[in-house]
Amino acid sequence: MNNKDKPKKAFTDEEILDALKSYDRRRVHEALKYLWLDKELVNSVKNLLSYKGFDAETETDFWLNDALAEFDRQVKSGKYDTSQSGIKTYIVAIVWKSSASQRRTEKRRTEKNKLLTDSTNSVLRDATVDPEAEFMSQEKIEAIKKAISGLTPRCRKIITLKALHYKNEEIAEEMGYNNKDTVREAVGDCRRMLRTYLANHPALSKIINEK
Amino acid sequence: MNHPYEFEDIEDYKNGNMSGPDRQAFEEELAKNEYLRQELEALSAEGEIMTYLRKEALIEEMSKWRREEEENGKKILVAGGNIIPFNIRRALAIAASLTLLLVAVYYFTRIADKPDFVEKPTELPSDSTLTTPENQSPPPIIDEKKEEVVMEDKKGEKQERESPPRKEQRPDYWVAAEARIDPMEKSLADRLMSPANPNDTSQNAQLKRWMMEKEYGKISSALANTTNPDYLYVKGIALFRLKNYREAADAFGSIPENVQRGFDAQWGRALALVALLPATCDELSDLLNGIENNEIQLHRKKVAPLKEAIEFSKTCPR
Repeated sequence: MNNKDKPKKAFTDEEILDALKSYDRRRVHEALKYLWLDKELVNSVKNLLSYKGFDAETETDFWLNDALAEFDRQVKSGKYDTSQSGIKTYIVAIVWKSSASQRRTEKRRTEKNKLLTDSTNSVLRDATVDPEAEFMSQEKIEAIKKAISGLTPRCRKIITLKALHYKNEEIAEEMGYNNKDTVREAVGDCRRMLRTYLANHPALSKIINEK
Repeated sequence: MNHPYEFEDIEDYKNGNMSGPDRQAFEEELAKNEYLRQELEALSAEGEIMTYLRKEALIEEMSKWRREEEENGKKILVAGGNIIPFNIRRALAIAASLTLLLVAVYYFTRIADKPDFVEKPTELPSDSTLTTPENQSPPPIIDEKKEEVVMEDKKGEKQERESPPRKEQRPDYWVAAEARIDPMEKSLADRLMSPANPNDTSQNAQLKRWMMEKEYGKISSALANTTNPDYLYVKGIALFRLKNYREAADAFGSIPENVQRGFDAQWGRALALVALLPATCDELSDLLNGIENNEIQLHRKKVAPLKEAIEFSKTCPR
């Protein structure tokens, strides 16, 4: 890791929240990296995963990255309540919840596969649909992927950069545009393209908007 | 279906930035225009999609951090350096050296210098040998290959007997001391109290039966207030067996030196103090010095167990 990428100071919980709520992607980047490098947090996630029976050495990154991104989302949507727990505790709780959910899903799948394997009933054997809860979350992701597939690769990248709070100047530099006005137009065009696609596919919008 | 609103207008409505009359007009249009409703839904869905893309991008970003870390690690190795920073390497080297030093010190102080106290069973000389040096048994010779103790009898003939089962070797001093108390107890049962007649209700016979049945608690209770040197000796052994080493040492210590069991009592006290090492270092050293200076001890200087006890005292802090 480059030294210039290392956070230069210790963050308090308040500073982390301020950074994540800001639309300054460098501050967001710095705060997330601070958490990502925090030994206490990483070890807590490792211990939790070991306790849950996961291979902590190989899977910590996956779960931690997912939890940090989810934490960022929850801060932005105002779901994180500072009075309930500290940031690190909250992130470990996200890992706890999502890993437990995966374990339950795996267990259900194993039991179901056993039932299907053991059963002589062809209807049961042919059934492949998972329980509704699992299906719904997957369905939402599939709908999002479907909506994104309606975009050109360039538009997808522009919208992703916008979602990461890149400034128009930064997007211009990243995408090779001449100036930020061109970026503004490009962003508007891409968003319009996405909305039009969704408006023309109301079923997708409905699934995506489901909580 | 067409409507007069731009995407920006829909966004203003969703974000609450539309003025009262405009808002009312928008909602009237919304009630009758299906496509406007779909566009409003699309706007909400767009927000969800942006969130999803952001999350995916952040996860990708963090994976990139890991890849960068690994690449930097490789670069350091390629450059001939070590992936472990120098200060950590230095700390590890110091820790390893200290560990080796501690192991070496432990070996020389606890293992190399210490005789194998536990595994060399010997019998304490019987009463007669205590008072008549001519009859005392020579020190035991350890035949380590056979793990047997070879004892020379009075005529110089070798007699072999099996050593007791090998006990777990551990630094607990009481294990060593307990191994020495066996012959004392046997000698006591044989000599002090003549044959245990089941019909004999005398205290001696009762004590002997308890001794044979290992009812040490009953013995120590029965002799709680005794001042008789012989009974104090029995009490000392019983307390020792109960691992009440402090009380055992006191019982042995209250036997006068000038009685028949005086020296045996000192020996019993020494063993009890050995069991309490290292807390009793000073007390034991004084006792052993006293025994060495004792005229009787001069006759017993070849008694190996006593020497071993003295050796044990070397483990005491200086």
